[in-house]
Amino acid sequence: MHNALAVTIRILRQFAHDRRTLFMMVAAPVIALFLLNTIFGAPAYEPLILVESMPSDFTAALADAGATTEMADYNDAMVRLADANADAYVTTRDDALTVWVEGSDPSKTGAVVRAITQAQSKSLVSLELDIKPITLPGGIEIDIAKYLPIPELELPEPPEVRYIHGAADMHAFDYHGPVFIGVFIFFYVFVTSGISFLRERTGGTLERLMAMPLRRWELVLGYAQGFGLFVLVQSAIVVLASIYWVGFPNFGSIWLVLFIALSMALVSMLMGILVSEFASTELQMMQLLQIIVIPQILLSGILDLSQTPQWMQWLSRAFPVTYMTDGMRAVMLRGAGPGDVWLDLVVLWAFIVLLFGANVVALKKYRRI
Amino acid sequence: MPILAARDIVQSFGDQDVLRGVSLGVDRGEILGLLGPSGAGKTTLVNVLAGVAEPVSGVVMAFGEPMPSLDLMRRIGYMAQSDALYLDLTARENLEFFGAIYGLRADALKAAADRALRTANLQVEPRKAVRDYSGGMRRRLSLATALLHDPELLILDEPTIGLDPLHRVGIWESFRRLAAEGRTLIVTTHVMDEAERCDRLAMIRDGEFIAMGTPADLKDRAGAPTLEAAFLHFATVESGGRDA
Ligand SMILES: Nc1ncnc2c1ncn2[C@@H]1O[C@H](COP(=O)(O)OP(=O)(O)OP(=O)(O)O)[C@@H](O)[C@H]1O
Ligand SMILES: [Mg+2]
Repeated sequence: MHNALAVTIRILRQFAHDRRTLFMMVAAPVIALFLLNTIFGAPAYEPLILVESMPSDFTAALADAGATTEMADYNDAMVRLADANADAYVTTRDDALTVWVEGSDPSKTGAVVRAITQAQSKSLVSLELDIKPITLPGGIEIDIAKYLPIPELELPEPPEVRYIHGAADMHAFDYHGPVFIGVFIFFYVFVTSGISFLRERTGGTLERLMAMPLRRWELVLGYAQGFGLFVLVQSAIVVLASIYWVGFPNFGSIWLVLFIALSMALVSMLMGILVSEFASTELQMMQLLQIIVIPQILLSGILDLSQTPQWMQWLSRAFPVTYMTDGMRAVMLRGAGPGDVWLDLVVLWAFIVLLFGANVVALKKYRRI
Repeated sequence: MPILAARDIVQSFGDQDVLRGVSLGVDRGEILGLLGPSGAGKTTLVNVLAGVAEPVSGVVMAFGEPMPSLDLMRRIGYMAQSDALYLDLTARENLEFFGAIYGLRADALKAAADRALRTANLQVEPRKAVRDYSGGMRRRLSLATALLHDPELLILDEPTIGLDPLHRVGIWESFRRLAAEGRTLIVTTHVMDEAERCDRLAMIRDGEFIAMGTPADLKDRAGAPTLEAAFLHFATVESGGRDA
């Protein structure tokens, strides 16, 4: 126990001398969060819609619905759509409202359709919404209509939506906030602890330690304690900045969020140390990071996996990040308490115990006892 | 009973046999030198003796008990060929860490560090990180960390490499004093004038001992004026014998 404490104190002293690492530990996540903050603080996209021979109240309604409108004739519009210099062209053909869309970015197409639908119901132009396929240069014809939910005409009164979870002003992206917190913590902690332990080996100090009366578990515990303190600070920074600065919504207890974040940080730390056992240079460490961390991030819940093949869902269940994402979402978005997320926490702590043991065993490579 | 005895140590990496059945014994108060060219297997042997690496076969007994053992490691001081220091820390912080692992605390730790630094001929700079030390200073600090807990047996892998003659002489005086106090030392080297200062020498080549004895004895047996010539003599006799 004294030995583990000696290792811990040594690690903290190293941090104290290594100002750059200390600075990076704060700066790196804050920079990433700042970028997120800016991206999601930006106003909604304003589609540019070209119109020809449309009633003026319709054009005005389009503008009200957040679109920019310009007059254009068919030929001009087709050239501009083909060059992606406009998002859509609206005109009336055979008494039907007809829309050509540029169509390469579904979110922009969606914005066009929303604006037009809204304008339509406002201006009471009850024309058929007929979305024509567009021919891209090279003769490829894309039937946009197939990809779009065709909105109902004659919109009824908008329904009153009551939220069981979340809130009306929640952005679609806010759902992903908890995942970002988890992924940041996972990534930064993995890298710092992995590289630090790697240095212990490449610097020859690990071999030196193995010639001393220091038990393998004492070394791992010392690391876990030293880095534990370090990652406690780091995950607190990420969580607090995400919620109070970037503004990810949190409907649950901040303490529970912090506890889940810390549990995740401990998992990443132990995983980083374990993975560094299989690298002999920092370059190799980065290569291992690519095959170990990136898949976990992809399957962590950033993307919806509910329609993917079964094996992929099972695979995601094998990764600790998934449990952290589940727990965080439950707490932050649905206000879940400890009683609701205990299973996620148990799994995370099982990973911690498992990885701790795996690290102690992996050190056998250097000394049997 | 020898302080340290190794019997039939075989070590290999992949399909390369680095040690081919090496045996040796060291007595209390003795300085044993391991002399051999680069790649002969000195570091490999020393790592096995210190319990840092396990041999493919063979036994190492220290103080009459089998290695590796955590209790025995308390009585052994080991200095690796690379400096194995924490470069971000100051010299004192390094010594405090290694000392703490040996169970030294507070005043005892400070006294032990002062003594080890004197023995290693090093004056530390209080605020400087070891990263900014010269190579020779790091080498002596590394030696000091091996001496901290006042071990009965010291296993030192090229302790004086990269040191100037003045410090080298100072450190060998320390070794002599330690041996006179009853400590036992195993020192690897490929410098002949250091080999001369050992009580006994084991000449190693290609993972095998080609000769063992006092420096004077080895020169006598080879009929050579210098240890260098003696080494060449044993090296050719040995390989001649093997070819036959
Ligand atoms: N971990 C290892 N993996 C593979 N080969 C190794 C390893 N360690 C040592 N060797 C090989 O074992 C042989 C002996 O190496 P060793 O380091 O013991 O030599 P040495 O006598 O200490 O040399 P030097 O005087 O240069 O330090 C060398 O051929 C080396 O390549
Ligand atoms: Mg060597």
